[in-house]
Amino acid sequence: MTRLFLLLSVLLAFVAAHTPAMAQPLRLQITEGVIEPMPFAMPAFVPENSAGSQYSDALARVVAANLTNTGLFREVPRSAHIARVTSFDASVSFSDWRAINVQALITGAVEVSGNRMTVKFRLFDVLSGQQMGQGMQFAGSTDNWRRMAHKVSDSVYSRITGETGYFDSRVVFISESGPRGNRTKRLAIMDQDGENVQMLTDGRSLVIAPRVSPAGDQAVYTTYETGSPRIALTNLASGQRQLVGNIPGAMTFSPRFSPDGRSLVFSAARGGNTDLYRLDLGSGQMLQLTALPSIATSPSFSPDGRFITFESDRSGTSQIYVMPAGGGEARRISFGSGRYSTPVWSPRGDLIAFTKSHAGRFHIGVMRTDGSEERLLTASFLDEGPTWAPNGRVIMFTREAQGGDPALFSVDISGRNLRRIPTPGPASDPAWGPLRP
Amino acid sequence: MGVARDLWGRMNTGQRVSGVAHIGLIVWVMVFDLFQVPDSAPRVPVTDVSLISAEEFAALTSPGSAPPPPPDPPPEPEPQPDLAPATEPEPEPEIRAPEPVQPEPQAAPQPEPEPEPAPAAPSTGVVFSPLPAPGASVRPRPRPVDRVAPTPTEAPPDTAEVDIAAAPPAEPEPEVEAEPEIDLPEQVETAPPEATTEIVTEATETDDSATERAAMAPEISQRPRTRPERPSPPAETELAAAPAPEPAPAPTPEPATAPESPPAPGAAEDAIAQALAEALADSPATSPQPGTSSTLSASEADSLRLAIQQCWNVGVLSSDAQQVTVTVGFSMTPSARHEQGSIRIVSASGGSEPAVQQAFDAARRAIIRCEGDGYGLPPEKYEAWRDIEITFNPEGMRLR
Amino acid sequence: MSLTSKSLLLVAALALAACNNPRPGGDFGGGGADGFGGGFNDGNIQTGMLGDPNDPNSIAHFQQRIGDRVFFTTDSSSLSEEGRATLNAQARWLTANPQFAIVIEGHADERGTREYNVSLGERRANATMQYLISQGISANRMRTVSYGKERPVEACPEQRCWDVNRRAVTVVSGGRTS
Repeated sequence: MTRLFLLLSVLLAFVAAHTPAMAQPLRLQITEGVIEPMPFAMPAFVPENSAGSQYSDALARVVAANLTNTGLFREVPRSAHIARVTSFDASVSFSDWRAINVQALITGAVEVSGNRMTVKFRLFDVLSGQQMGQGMQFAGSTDNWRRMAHKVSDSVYSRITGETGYFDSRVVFISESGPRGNRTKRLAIMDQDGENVQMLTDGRSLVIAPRVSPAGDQAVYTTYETGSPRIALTNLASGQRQLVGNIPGAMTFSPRFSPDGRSLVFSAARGGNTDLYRLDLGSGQMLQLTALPSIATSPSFSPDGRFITFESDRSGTSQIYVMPAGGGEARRISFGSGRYSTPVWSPRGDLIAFTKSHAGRFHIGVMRTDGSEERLLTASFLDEGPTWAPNGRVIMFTREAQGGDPALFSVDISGRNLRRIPTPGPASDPAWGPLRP
Repeated sequence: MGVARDLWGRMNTGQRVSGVAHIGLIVWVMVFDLFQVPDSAPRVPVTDVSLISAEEFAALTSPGSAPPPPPDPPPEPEPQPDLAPATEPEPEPEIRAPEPVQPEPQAAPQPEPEPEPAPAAPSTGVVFSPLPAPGASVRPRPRPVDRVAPTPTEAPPDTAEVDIAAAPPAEPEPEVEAEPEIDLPEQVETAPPEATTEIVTEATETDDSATERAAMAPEISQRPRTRPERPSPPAETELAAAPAPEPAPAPTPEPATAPESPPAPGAAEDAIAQALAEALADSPATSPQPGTSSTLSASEADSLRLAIQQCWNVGVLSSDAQQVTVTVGFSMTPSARHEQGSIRIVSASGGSEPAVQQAFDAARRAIIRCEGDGYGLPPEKYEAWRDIEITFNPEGMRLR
Repeated sequence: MSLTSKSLLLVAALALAACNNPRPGGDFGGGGADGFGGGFNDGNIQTGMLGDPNDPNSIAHFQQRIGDRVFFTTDSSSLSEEGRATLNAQARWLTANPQFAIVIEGHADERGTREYNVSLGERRANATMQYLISQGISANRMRTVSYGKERPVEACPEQRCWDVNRRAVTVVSGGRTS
């Protein structure tokens, strides 16, 4: 019996080995990868005329800095380059790039005539020796040269990662100066990378917590210019400004745009009670959204405009709630220990970022819109006020070290790549604008 | 060539740019004009970058100057909003606190200040230079490393050369010429780049248990070694008839469901071990053709798998692409390198077409990047590994 | 951005910062001295004499002897026994000096988020006002404003500073008829 079994086995094995085996590929399954920055090379842009040469290095530096700052990429320094890119259209010697372990190669060219410039780029997958996507070209004014570099960065980032980029975007924030007890705060705007800072208010009035309109053309913020918190709406291009959402006898603050940019939701405090209101910017019509003897503030629309998330202390401590955008029953979604504040819906709609304080420390975190899968991304003496990059992959926030000045920081939604955003002086309350057209 | 390099070294940047441009021009005229190469460069679509307004431009070019004076604070001509709806009794009476007001919660109502005395009074001046790095933590805890890999790796000792492919580069020194050694990275003995087994955020760092767990990691991690790493003990069952290929440097290939894996204290390691176990258990490579020399042993297949997985970088994948499981097929040359142009998608699931493309790109990079001089597979079993299909499943690596 | 324009930016920022350097704080009024409007209503400056603290009808007496502020515990707007005593004395002074109006400023410590703290400050100012009303002070002599955590009276990252920053300050504004 045993013998028979053995014999059968051998026979079976023999058959198995000699029939379809030859045609069968070796099959493997890989479930564990690595997460590490991808090495890229960004040689200077090839100047296509002499006027272009003054931008050839600068453009490359901006692109390289953008990619490096994501934490997803790592620049192989030019000093290590073997091949020299001297013509935009020449064929690429991939082996030279492979030899220094470059995986993505960006080549560019720039041509300037008068105050117009044309910037071109190509992206190559060095390992496979193939171009990724088509070459692209941007044309515009030389004053916008940084934006051109941001456009190139966005395209490269998008082609490699599959996400839309966020480099050609701006951030509105509060620029601070003066003693802590009587801080001067000014509304300011800058490029996403901290360049081109521009002050929008003169600092005579205290201003806090701005937001950018979905189209990026307006900002709304809280100002103390009347001596009490009021909401100001300002046009970023013209500087034209008006106070909106007056409720006699109430302090109004914490304004946020709806996704269509046509209305605001904000807080009004009076009689020891803070409620949410909605203001139609066109008609001036107002609608009260909450009416409980508690605080409801820091609202944020879902990107589809159907819901509003906000914080309220109606349960006794500050927690996060979600309600229909027209008001109605609110559902509490935060249940962890500690206090939850400043919920902000991600532009993708899948996550809500928040500030959490617990056991004497502050965190920036994200959770799903039903409150599940809470993840804390940061921890410090004081972190607050998250704002999303337009692609929903990066969060910027205010960090104040113990005894230090506030500064702007960013972190990606995995909790990696914590970085300080350079600002000219102390800064707080960042509000990330949309990707520019 | 030496002369040229010497010359290059003496030139300043302007001269170099100019020189390069001139040479480029000459070459271009010579090569392209004479031979008129068929347009290898695809047409570039033109996108006009939208321009900013004149005012905005003016403002941008004179940053810091007084902002445009708020055009006469509009004497409060605010659209005196119709307050009627607001003052009306609650528009939606059904608003109810989901929970009775006034419960006690507040576990820790009084945030304890950090014990340390306050550092010097905050500077009131404007700080113009960026602070160094975000507050480096005081406690000796694992720092977040920008590489996450299945096996934790210590920072290489100073003497070891760090793999240029994965180590953060030194400060770029644009003036320095490329060192010729760089041509031969494969021959340099390199240490694997520093890595952690999980993403360490600030928040997890402050979690005590995580800290402890992570603090243990370096102790159990292996020394830096050259790759490809030796396979961890294979645990697969081989078909009875298979002439159990010796090597398996590992202990008891017991039941397939309980693969031996390196002793893994700590939850993180457990998780990894488990994932590894699943991977091993699932791996069809372990149960292919029996007998004869045309069958790869489990450890041989595993070493190939490990070699490729350590080059599979899911970090740059979009969250959509991280949902994609892609099976990639390719052929090997007898020297155990992929055959040019043979890498293709066999099947994919879980994502849109662009996401599948990203996932495929990453898989392809993994296969090409780690082959070096070849994957070191036994030539006598070429038939067994000539055609390969690898399924890349990022489920366990998803960021969220 | 070129080096030149960067330096221009720096110079401009410095100049602006210098021009706008606010009044040095640290006088006895601290945040309270900031007053409502704080000079924001251009040209509409109220002038008033603080007087001698020994004169029970002087503003100086109100600020120094009676006490112009009450304190709160974390995340609370409940008045303490001590706070009520201070407010009782404030109410007596206000009754004796009916020509003055007051602004009650609510403040929070820095251990909360910015906007929530505006609400919390409003709650504290309101609690203070409601108590003064209960002591017979007319509501139309009073106004509230919340500064949230924007105007700490003590700026240190320690408990002792947070304790004094969680406050409601009664600011007596000049003459009632001014």
